[in-house]
Amino acid sequence: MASQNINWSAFTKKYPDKLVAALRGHIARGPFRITAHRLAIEANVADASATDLLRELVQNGFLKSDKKLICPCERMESLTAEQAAEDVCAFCGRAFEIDVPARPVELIEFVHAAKQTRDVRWLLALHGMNTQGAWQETFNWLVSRTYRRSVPVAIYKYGVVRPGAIVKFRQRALVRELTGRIRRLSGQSEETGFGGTPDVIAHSLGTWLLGHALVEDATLRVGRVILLGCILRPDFDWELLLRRKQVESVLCHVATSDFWAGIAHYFIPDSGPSGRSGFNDRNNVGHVALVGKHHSDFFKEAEMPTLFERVWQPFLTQAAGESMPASNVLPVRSWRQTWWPLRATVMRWLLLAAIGGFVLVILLGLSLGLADLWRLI
Amino acid sequence: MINANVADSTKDRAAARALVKSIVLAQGNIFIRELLRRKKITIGVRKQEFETNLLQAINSGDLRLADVVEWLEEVEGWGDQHIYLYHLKDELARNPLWSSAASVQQSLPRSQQNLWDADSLVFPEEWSLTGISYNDGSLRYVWHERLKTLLRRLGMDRRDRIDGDWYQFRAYLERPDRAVMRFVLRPAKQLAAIFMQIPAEGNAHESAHSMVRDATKPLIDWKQLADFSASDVIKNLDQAVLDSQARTNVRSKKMRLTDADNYVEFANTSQEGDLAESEAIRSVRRAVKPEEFAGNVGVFLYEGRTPTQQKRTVKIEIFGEQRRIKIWAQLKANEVWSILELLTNYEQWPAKT
Repeated sequence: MASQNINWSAFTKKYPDKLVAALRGHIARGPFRITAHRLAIEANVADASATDLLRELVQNGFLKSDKKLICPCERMESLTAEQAAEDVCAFCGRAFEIDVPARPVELIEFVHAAKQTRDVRWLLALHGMNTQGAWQETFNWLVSRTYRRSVPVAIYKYGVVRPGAIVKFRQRALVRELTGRIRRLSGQSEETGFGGTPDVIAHSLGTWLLGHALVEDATLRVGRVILLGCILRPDFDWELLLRRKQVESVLCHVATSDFWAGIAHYFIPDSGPSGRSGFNDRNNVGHVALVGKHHSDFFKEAEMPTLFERVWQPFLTQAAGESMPASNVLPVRSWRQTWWPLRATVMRWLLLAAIGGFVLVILLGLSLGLADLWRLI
Repeated sequence: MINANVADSTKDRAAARALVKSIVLAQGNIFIRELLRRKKITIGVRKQEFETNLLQAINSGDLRLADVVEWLEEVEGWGDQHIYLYHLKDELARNPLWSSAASVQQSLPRSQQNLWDADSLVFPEEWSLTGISYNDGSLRYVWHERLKTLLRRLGMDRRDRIDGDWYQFRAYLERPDRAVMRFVLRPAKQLAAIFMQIPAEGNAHESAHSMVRDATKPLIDWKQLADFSASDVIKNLDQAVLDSQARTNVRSKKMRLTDADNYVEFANTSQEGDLAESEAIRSVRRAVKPEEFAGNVGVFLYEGRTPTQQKRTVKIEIFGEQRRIKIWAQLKANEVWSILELLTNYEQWPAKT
């Protein structure tokens, strides 16, 4: 029962704000058992208010009440109905109302039977090809402030690799480097008690490198994965990685006007526009859409804190087995590769040739210009 | 040991009846029900009904002394006790002495020979070694002491005026019972343990330890027994529960970590809850570096099963400084050993899972 299904504003009209806020916090943080008295103490309100609010949530089906019978002695052992009907406590051996001053006491606990939320242990941030990933530092700062405890963020930088992104041997080298780095960091984090597998937030070429590193090395493991401006093929086989337990779960955060994700397929081998239109697999991959936004808009100062709080953080901490986010603005589609000559086959060589030609022209221009300049001098 | 094929004589029936009225009824209801169920005897709900049905079964020959003794060996003195666990060093574990029961028996001093496979249906006034055996790869020493279990009987309370003052008398029925202490050594598992049904008060446990060491000295070189690292188990088991490794059948209820004379404690106060439920508590717990602390006390809930396969939660308390384990519910011998083996898996980190 998710906290967001409860109409909290209706409760704030009837009950003290502090009481509603306290209970809302408990429900948001997962399972708990609480007595009305304990909640009342926490919120510094009357027991009756806490009892009424909790009972109302029981009536609405958000909580359950669990009646217990407790021996009134100091040990306060929980008794079965059969034991409570006896004259003597089955645990302390003392007679009710004679050796101890009362019959078994009824205690009502209110139970939120939710699944336990998940803890984020450490994170790996992978940047894209066009930048040095300044957003990673901002993200690190955001994480540090959110959890208060130590949640290390490993920032992996491989530099600006614009031409390297379209050359296979360079791609392979980058994948190998990333695999090695994840292994080293996992070993170090395991040794220091943070747990072995990182949750990963990856952008652009970082998504491509992560996906391919996982496919190529079946022993490589990560936790939950957030993909931003993703350039993996929309038919990428996440199901295989989930089945091999290499990945816990995947969230693809789409920007519907992402130009670079849209054209990646034509220049970067084995890539596709998943960052613009999502993955074909909507059962295993969660999708959230940032409508009308572009490739790197996730990292804008006005966007990232909100996205982190409302989308990424809930995804990372939601209980295992909870339903994945699903976007209702992204059409479900079955993406296929484009016509062979238009893929990153001929096109990337044309692009390289164009870049080469451009560089040659510049160099020629410079050298001819320099020759003229020499003559003038 | 009683031979199961011994004729069901009148003497045996009398002995079985005596056992039922004392030791048998002192065992937990779920175990008595199991005995009744196993022998296809009408069960009943309360102890009085169990007693009636058991006595009837003995009279009719459906329940024999050998059945009762065999059942008692499984349940009497297992669980609801303190345990001191040890690891056998290789030299002791590989001692050729353990190759056969005969070689073990031959190594016993003359003063203990009469206790070999002895019938232990006695109620000695003081702790006494009542039996030594070696079977199923386990060396067992058993001690007994007579106990008087007091059962509150309201109907016998009275209030009298004596010399002008009013006095209240609370009545308790004395039921003969006995406490059990065991030393068990399992060379193949390289484990040994002392099981004590003795409250941890004063120097009672030290005295019991001395008694065990003295009695076992002819066979056991105690220098070959290494202490169980209870402090590490507290930390590692809690960590494993936190990391969801041990969550299938163990939950963490309380943990106290000490740093010299300072401590930090994590606890859950409800009957069924556990520490890991609370995101806020987990967040604080994760900020703690266990390697900087000693595990002082750990309370864990172990998910056991009743003989009818119903869930049964058993509280296990581990005391780091005393290297002591307390199991808070009666169990069967095999369940106690399962718990001990589980705990030994968490002496190192990462655990041997």
